[in-house]
Amino acid sequence: MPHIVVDTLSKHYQVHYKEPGLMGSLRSFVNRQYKVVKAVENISLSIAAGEMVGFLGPNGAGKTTTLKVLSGLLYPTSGRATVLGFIPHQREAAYLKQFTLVMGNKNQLMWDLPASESFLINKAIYDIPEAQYKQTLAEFDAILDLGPLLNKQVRKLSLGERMKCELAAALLHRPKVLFLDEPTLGLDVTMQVAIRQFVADYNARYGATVVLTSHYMADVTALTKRIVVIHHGRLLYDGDLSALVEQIAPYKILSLILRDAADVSQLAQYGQLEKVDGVRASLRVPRGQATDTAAQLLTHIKIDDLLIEEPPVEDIIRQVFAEGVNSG
Amino acid sequence: MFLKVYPTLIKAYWARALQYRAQIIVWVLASSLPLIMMMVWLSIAAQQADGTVNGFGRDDFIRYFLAVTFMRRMTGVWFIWDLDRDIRLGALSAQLLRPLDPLHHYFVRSVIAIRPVQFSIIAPPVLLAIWLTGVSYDWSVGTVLLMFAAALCASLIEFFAQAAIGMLAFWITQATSVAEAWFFIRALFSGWVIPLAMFPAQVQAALTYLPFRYMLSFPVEIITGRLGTAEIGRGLAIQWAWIAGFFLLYRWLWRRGLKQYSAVGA
Repeated sequence: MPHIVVDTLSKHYQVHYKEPGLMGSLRSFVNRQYKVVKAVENISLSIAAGEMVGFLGPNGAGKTTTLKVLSGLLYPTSGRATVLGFIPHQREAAYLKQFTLVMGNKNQLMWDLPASESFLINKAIYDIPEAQYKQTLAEFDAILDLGPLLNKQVRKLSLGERMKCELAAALLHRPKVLFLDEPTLGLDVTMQVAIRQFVADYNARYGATVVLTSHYMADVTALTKRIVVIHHGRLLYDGDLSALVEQIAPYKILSLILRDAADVSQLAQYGQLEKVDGVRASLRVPRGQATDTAAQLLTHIKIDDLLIEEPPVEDIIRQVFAEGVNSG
Repeated sequence: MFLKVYPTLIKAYWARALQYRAQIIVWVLASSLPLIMMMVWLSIAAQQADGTVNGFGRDDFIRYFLAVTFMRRMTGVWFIWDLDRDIRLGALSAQLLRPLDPLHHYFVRSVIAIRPVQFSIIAPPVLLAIWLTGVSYDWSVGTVLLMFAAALCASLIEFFAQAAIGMLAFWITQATSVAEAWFFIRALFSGWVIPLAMFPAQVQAALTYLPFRYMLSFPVEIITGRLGTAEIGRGLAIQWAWIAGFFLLYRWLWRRGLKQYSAVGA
C-alpha cells in the first residue's frame, strides 16, 4: 500500500491585492480587491512506503503548499490527499504521531532555551519511552554530532547548528513519513552533506518515506531517484531523474583540453560546439554516439584530456520550467 | 492525556520565564498602578466631611487596593499578542504538527508557569505594606482558599476570553486592536482602578452578570470580607458560566479559523 496518495488535489488562496502607494492603500481600504491564487492545481501522485521523492520547482511553484496540505496545515480546495491512510487536515493524534514536517526557514525549537528543553517537550508530547528516546538521540548524535549544541540557547546557535537540532527534534518520535521543505536552505556545503547523510541514514534505518523539496539540485540528486517537477501549481513531470535527463537532454557533453588552440571549423564537424576558450572546448553530441565521437576525436585531433559528461541537471530543470515536458 | 505533558511544559516555561529578567522588573513597576489609584482615592476621601466615599474610608481603600495589587498579578493573563503573532506570521504551524493542542502551550506559559514567579515577587511587598499600614483581612483558611479558587477562575475567564479574541487573527490583521478595547473596558469595570462599589447602583447591578467583575474584583471582595457565603457561591457559579461561554466561543472560532488558516510564511 502506498504511504502517500494525492488525487486531483487543488489548493487556491484568496489574496488581498493592493496597488502601490498611498492612493492604492486608500482604494484598497474602501474597495478591497481579491485575487485567487492557484497554488496547487489538479495534482495527482502516489508515493510508496520507504520511497524518497524530490519535489523540484522554482519559488512559488506550489511545492510548500503541497507539503502543507499533506501535513494537515491546509485544507485542500478540492481533491483528496491521504497519508498513511489518514486525511491530513483532520489532524488525528494517531496521524500527527507518525509524520514530521521540517521547514528550513522556520524555527520549531524554543528560541530562548537550549535545544535539549525542546527535545524533552517533544519526548513528552509524543510520549516517547525513555529507552527509545535515549537510543534515538544517541543515533542522531553519532551522525550530527549534537553533543556540544544541546545545552546552548537555540538563538546562540549558528544556522547550520540550529538546523541539526531542528531535524533531530523533528525526528525524535521516529516518524514514518518525513516532509522536508528546503532543509539545507542557506547552509554551507559541508553542512548540506551532513544533513543529506543524516536523511539517507534515517531512511535506510527506519524505512521511512521521504518527500524533499530543495533549490539545491545536489540534495535531490544525492537522495532521490524519483523527482516530481511542479511549476505554477501544476505537475510537469513525475518519474526517474535519469529518464527525465534522457528525454529533455538526449545528448552528452564532451569536454576537451586540446594540445593546440582550438580550430573551430574542425571541431564543429564532430558535434555542436558549446563553448571554446583557448585550448578548452566542449561539444554537445547525441547520447548514443558519445563514445564513438570521443574515439574519433582522439584519433584525429591532438587532445590532452577528454571527459564525457552528463549535462548539468540545473540546465535540464531550467529547460523543463521554460518549455514543459511530455510525460506520462 | 495532556496532563502527562504538563510537568515537562511547566519546567520548560518556568525556565523561560526566568530568562526574562527585564519583564519581571516591568511587572513590578506595572503593579504600582493600583497604589497610585489608592493615593487618588485617599485624597478624595480626605476631602469629604465624614472622610468616606460611598462607605469606603481610609482603611477600606488601603485594604482594597493592596488586595488589588496582589490579585492583579494572580489573575492577569497576557498571551493575546503571542497568539495573534503566531497565527498571522505562521508560527502556529509548528504547534499544529504535534499531537498536543497548541492552546496548552499558551495556557501553561501564561497561566500556570508564571504564577509562582509572580507570587514570589508580589507577595512579600504586599504583605509588608499590610503589616506597615495595619489593615486587616479575613485570614481564615476557608476564605483564603476561596480567594485563590476565585483567582484561578478569574485567570480562566481572562485566558479563554483572550483565546477567543485571538482567534480573530485568522480573519483580520488587527485582532490585538480588539483586545486593546477589551482591556480598556476590563480596566474600567474589573475594579482595577475604581472599586465597583463607587459605581451607581444600576451599573453595579449590570456588572453582577458581566464577566469583568469576576476577573479581578470578585476575589478581592472575598478576602476583604465584603461577601457572604451565598454571594460567594453565586459568584463562583457565574465565573464558571463565563469560563464555559468563552471556552465554547474559542473552540467554535478555532474550528472555523483552522479551515482557512493559510500557514503563511514559507
